Amino acid sequence: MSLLTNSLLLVLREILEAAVLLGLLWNYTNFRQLSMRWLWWATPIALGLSFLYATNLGTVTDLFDGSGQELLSAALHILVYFPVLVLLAGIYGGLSSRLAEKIMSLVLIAAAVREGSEILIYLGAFTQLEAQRNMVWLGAFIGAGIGISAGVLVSALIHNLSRPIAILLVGVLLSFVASGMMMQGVSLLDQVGLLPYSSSVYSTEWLISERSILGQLLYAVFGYDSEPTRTQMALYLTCLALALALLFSADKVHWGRDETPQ
Amino acid sequence: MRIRVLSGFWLLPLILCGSLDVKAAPEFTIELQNHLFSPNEVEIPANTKVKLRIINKDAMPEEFESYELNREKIVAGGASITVFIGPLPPGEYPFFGEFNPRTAQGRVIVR
Repeated sequence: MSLLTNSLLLVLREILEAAVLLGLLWNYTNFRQLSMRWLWWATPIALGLSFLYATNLGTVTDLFDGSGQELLSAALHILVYFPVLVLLAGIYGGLSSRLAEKIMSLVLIAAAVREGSEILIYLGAFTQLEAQRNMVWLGAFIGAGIGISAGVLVSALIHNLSRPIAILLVGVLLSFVASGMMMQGVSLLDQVGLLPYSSSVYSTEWLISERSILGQLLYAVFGYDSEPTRTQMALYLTCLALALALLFSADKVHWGRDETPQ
Repeated sequence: MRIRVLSGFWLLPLILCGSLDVKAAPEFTIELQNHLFSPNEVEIPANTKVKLRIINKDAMPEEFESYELNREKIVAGGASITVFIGPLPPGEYPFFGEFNPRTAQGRVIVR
């Protein structure tokens, strides 16, 4: 794989998840008729924290007996899932505008910090290498462009749907993305030996390899794992069921309220 | 709030069980220099949890990654990291450095 392709894929993979998530939150903001101001202060905070993480990687790694990177990343993944549950419960209303905006900021910051820091570390590593720098930056630029375009495309496609379908689709996609992040978080805990051994449930490597571009993109957005362990799968299904149950109960409450005679 | 508390408790026993295996895990060391892993093949026992210590002797950071082992972790320049793998069935499990995938390649051989 050339340096250009490697750089493109690395940056695309890191940006895609945040771009899709941002697209979903943008639609959430629209159909809840909220202000977009949350994005203007969440973005600099996310960038600042990414920079802080990237420049203090050694210190973070050494925390908790060398498990700092994994524990911090797992915490960030969990910090996406639980606030998303609150957003799902209030997707039809019942969640104040101010609280919804704060929660969306938190979700975006938590999702962007790890990915943002990895991009900064990667680009920073090649800054001194003049021969390779241009290729890496070009690949990163193209990758970022594709990732952002994908996020815009998701937003535009959902925006053009009828309101009830758009709300449902945003809710379902948020459930999958957030549950996927929980699965990635669990995998990180396993990496530092904090989880007991559990064997793989199945293998879909023959269908979509994790090495393939599609596999890497599915991993980035939905936490795709071609050979998940029983622990990962159990947690993923529990998280997904909980998120979807909240979404559909919010839906039921909403329609029940609408049909109540005035 | 209740949901959040319950989910946290659900993970706690798993984490406690997991931390018990870690203490007894045998350690294997891999060095990274000039974007090459040395040794580039590490033989580990089957069905045993092991600790891989990766020492980066380059000034440039690298990301240790393996799809087969389901592991990814950045190691800063001149620093080291620890990654736990296994227990694994016999087989070959490739790994690579994501920042320099053409040169930084290796594999874990489980026997």
